[in-house]
Amino acid sequence: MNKSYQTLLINNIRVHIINSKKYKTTCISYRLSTFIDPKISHIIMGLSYFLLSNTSECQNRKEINRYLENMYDSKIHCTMNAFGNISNCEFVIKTINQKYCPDKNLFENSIKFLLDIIFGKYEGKNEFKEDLVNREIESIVNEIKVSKENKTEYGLSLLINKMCKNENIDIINFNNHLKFKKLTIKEIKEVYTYLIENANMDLFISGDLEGINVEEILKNNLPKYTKANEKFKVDLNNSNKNIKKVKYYEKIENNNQTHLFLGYRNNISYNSKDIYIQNLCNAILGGFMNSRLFRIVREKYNLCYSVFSFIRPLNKLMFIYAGIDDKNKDKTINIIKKIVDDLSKRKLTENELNLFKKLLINSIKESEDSQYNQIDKIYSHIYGDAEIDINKTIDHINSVTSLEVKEYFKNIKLDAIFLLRGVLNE
Amino acid sequence: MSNNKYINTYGFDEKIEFIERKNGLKVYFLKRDNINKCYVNLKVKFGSIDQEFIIDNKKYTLNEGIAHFIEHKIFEMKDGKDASVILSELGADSNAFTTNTLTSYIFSTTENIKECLDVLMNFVYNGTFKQNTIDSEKDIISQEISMYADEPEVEMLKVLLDNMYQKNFVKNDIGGTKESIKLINKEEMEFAYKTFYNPCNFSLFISGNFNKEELLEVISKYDDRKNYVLNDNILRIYHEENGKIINKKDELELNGTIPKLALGIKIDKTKEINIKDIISLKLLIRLIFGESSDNFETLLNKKLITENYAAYLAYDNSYCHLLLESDSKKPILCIKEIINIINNIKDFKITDKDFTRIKNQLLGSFIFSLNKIEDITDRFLKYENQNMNLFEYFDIAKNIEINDLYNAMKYFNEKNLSYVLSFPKKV
Repeated sequence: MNKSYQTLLINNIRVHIINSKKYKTTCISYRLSTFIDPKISHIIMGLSYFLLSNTSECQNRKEINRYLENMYDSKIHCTMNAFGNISNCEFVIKTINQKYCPDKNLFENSIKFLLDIIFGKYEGKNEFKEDLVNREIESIVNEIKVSKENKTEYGLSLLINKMCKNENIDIINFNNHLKFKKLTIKEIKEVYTYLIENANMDLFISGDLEGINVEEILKNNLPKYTKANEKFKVDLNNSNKNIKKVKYYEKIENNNQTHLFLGYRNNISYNSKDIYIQNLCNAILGGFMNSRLFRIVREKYNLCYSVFSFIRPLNKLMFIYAGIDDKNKDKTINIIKKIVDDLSKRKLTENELNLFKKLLINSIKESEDSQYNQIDKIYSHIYGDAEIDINKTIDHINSVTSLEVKEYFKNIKLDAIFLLRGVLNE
Repeated sequence: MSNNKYINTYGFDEKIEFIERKNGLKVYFLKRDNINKCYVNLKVKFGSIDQEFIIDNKKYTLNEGIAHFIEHKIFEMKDGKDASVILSELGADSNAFTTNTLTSYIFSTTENIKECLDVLMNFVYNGTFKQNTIDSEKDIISQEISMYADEPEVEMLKVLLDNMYQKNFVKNDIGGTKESIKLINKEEMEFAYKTFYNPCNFSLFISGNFNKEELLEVISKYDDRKNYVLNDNILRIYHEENGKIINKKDELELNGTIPKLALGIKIDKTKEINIKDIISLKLLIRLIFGESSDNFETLLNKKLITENYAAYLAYDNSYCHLLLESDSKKPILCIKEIINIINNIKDFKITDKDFTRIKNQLLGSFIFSLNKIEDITDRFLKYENQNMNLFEYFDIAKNIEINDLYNAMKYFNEKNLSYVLSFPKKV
């Protein structure tokens, strides 16, 4: 990161400030990190809804929406994401820069509003209300149901559920709606109190902060009772899986399209230099329009519209996806296997390798322009020792050899194939 | 020969340089040196609704989905190379999309910008089509159509628009149907290309970090490339319609997980509806059906809708309709309730507080849209395609008054309302 990035410690809360004139908006992200506890992770996920149901000034969602509209279309969202074995409960408010509107305290007001959402109920300024919590539970249950309509996400979740049983991986659990229906206010309060009293707290602020006394505003508004952040990191010692036989699953649905997923295991540790090999290999295989999958499965054999690969680096996983006609499923699987096999046997030419390095580096440079990506990058650095210096990242990518690429594809193991079969076209 | 000037941003702190080339190509430059990338969008005023037109008193009709088909095939260059591959080799990320009224070819990159621009202009200006690759592309587009057909909301919208519009091509799918794309051949592609891919119909917006002089050199190479144009004088037939709908309601069985509803109110486009009316309608929809409205809260509390909900205005020069979409456990009751709200709209009161709030929201949403160069570029071109300046649009919006909103209430008419309900298919 460059000089525009600074960290402060205010009331035991790590504050990360990214001051940049690139943006007309200010993005404020407050993250509470704890180790994932499967017994309560659904409640922590629920908190991202329950805490947003009312604040000290707003009695319900409608009033919150009105408050945000009045704050020049400010947007707020809360999510619970897993970062390896770490649960990251995140609260984000995005506002326009106050220099573009008459409210010259918009920054301070947005900080106050965000903090009220997170801490208001702990400080007794407002409380969890049963009717509002029940409404949120209903929303969560609906969302879980509707999430099955996104076939790519749904299929992937089903595959991971089967492939990674007993591994701590953030996926939608389609049975969680039963747990939510049984939730009580008492349980919610207990988990919320646990979170506030035990989580590591990081506050990220990104935007053009010229003329705003950020430190002063934070000193005046951040809670003074938070405990010191622990120096904990994501667990990177998740053991490698020994794959003896490729598992095959399928589910038949009333779809036109069949969604094909192939799940691979690799032994690449998140904080090792091999991560750059993995990123490059994903680019070669299916990260771009010029990648093998797109060129061969789509352009050469015309088997699909959508085909790509992606990695879950913290879980040592790589996936391939293709949306196909059911009658072509075997043919597509064979072609994909052959693509991976070829990459494991034939070294790429320097030209081919450099092409993908260029593409990958370009996308990394472009991501530097994204306010949110910058915040995520710092978080990954704090909890996962991810490289933060873009020049070093580029050097690492440039140093990957074609032999290393070949070795990567030789070492990855196909663990499972999943077909969410659409048979309406038959 | 070219004319340089700056776009009027109505006092807003943005500098967009405008140059019209002698062949009619419109070029816009928005420089932001503090970011890494450069984003380029070459827009062609040719979308899915451009299916019928008249040239020299002769009427032509194109197959449904042809604009989208050209968007797919134009990347294949004369020498058989794929332009997206060449752009990749230069380090750029490229893409394209077709809407009802335009086709856009885009790339973003942090290096080799002028080389990338050259590739982009080359393939758009020199489209060539081969029958064998057109035929194989049909399988890919067919998969794309299947992908959308699996989304219940897409299917519902298709039926709703078909029930609302008699002739306007907005009722057709952007990608066409599996049947219509089968009919598309090389001759038709070439004819459509030669008709619409005329620099007069092109707008090139370049934003971010770039060297303008270098790019102008590339652009000037294409100043004389106009020889393939069939005719500049195309009369597009849009079939503007009054508010009359074709069919009031429909029920479908789709593969969703819970019942859904889609409701539309058609706005009479045969009468003079101006941009002020459009903006007033947008604000009114937010006040009456937005997520901060009393109606939204009531419908949610009665469990007639869920948070998976949207209310918005869809419009272009030839069509305009309000759309309301939601999941609903009781869709029939929900529709009744919404119709009741519409029939009693004259009783709806807008307080000064409400009005200030939505004006603040409007200012904020405008600033948000200027934050990323991709957003400002695409949005600017979308408005330009409707012969409108994005900043002028906002200037008009700033001057909207409460009475304009009351006036726009006349468009909420039950007679022009149609709806579609969908229920999950039994497995």
